[in-house]
Amino acid sequence: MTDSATASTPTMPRRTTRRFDLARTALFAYVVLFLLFILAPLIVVIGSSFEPRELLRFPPQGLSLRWYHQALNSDLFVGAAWNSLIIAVLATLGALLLGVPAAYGLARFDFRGREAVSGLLNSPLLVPELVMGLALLQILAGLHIASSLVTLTFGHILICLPYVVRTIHSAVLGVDRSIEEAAANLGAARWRIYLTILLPIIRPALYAAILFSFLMSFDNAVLSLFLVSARTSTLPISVYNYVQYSLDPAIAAVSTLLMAVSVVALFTASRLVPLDRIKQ
Amino acid sequence: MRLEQAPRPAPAGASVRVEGLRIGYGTLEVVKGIDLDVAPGEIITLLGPSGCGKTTTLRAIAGFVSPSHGAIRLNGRDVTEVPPNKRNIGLVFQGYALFPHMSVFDNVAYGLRMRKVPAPEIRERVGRALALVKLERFAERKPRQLSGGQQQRVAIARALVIEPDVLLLDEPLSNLDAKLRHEMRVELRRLLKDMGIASIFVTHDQEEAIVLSDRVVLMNEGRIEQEGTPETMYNRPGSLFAAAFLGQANFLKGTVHELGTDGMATIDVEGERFRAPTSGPLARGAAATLVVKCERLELAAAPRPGWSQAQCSFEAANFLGPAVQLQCSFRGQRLVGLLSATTGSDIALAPGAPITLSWNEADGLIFPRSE
Repeated sequence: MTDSATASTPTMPRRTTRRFDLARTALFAYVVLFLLFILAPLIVVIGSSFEPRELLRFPPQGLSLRWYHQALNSDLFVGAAWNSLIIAVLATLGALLLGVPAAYGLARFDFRGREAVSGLLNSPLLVPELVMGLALLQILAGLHIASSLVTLTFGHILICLPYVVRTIHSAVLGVDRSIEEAAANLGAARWRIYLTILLPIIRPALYAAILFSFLMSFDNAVLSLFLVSARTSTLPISVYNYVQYSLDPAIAAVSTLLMAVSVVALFTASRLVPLDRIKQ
Repeated sequence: MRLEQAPRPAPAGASVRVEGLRIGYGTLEVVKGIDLDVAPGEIITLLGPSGCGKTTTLRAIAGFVSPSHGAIRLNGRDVTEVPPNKRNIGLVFQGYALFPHMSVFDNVAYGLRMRKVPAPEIRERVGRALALVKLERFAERKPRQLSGGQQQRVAIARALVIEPDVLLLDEPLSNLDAKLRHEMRVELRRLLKDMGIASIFVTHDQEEAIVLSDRVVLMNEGRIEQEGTPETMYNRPGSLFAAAFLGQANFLKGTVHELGTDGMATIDVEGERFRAPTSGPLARGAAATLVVKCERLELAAAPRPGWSQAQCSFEAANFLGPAVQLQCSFRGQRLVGLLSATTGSDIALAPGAPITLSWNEADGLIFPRSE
């Protein structure tokens, strides 16, 4: 093997080598352009957040934390950030409580209308958020319920639900049914099987569902637009409102912080779920 | 429920009793009346082709399938309506079904923890169970860090440690490679015999059933076709189905020529007549099949009294290692002999050459055949 390989290398035609080089260069250029395409908006936002003057521009004319200071001391942004955080946590909890049992049922039991239920649970993915927002607004108005953190949370649970159901559904399908039967056979009641066997095994998927849910809610603007009131604005909505009246680097600083939350969440999740555990 | 037969007397101390078990899924009945007794310490095998209801029967005993009729008793206790987690049955799954997120120790300890056994006793009993399957040194490993054979032993330790009334094993060897499978058969039988625990194996591998069990229960289409010791089942099959399922046999089709009074008959196969013991009701002139196990065939030297001879034409000789498989044709019907490699290896014949095979008349068996 080795002998024939070394023997054949010198006689390899030169054109093949050159074509190979060309392909490598093309691939390299493709990767660089691709990364640039993804990263460019982020770089612009992060860069302009350090601008010391009043004007939003890139590249910044200096490096200053002035706008971070201002953003973190603004009642508008800080209050909205708290709202976003509370809603994201509650919506995630709600989506897990509803979604995990639903996903388990869909994965494990064969019942009439299963496909319909599955479709229904995934429908928030298909219906435009704009339409959903409008529908919810109409329902609330019809029932004479004022917008509040509660109504906003319910709206967000709807958006988060499909992510939880899909993630957990495929995770449960990946767990051999006989593992649960083995636990029952060894004397475990149903709830103990869930707590000691099923949930620990699908833990990576649970983390993924929590992460998706949290980010979907925390970053959501379109649905929130219909459900916020003056007192219950969320961070993305506040950013949106702020941009309509002024365009200073404070908005870039807030956006950068918003991004940081997502990155931290993603990083934490990846630490909690080492890659080798996901494959298991 | 059980109209078809009178209740049998309960054998003293039967570990498992299955009475008139019927199981259906919708309109499809997969188990059509099974009666089964397993004595303490006895190892039995439910043997049969896929779809014969053997796995469903096992799952019913474990409590995962509810029967439409019949009863299941464990040491005299009726458990038919008892949920699986309250039955105290050991179960070894085909794919082992180990808990992937737990160490070997925790896997084996699981059943004891569910029974609220105190921690020091758990340590002691799990240690003993792991020693039994020679896995003491692997207690802290995760299942995925073990080989298939080791995983299987964990599954066995996990099932045995709870001291179950009966141990059920669903094709426990089918995921192992051939060599390990052969070793584990003997190993497993020795282990279960040492423990003295009543066991029910499910398998479709007749060889496994013969090596492992005290009693083989052959199932076919939801019913018990025949049951008996491996020797009886192998040498005295009660039906063509049983004859075809246990071991390799030749089936020569013919008609009954003459019925003897001594339990023997003569069958006419393509104009040649063979004498053999009979099984089942036969009538003169009726269609019948003569069954002879492949390894009972010999190369004939001269005619011997009490031996049948068939003038065949040679087709091929296949070297199998310890044996040589001889493929011949007897007047258009196939005849396969299994000769020891020492006698069979010097056969050098051209295809179509004449060859005479013979067998002891007592080794044949004539069955009625429905056409």
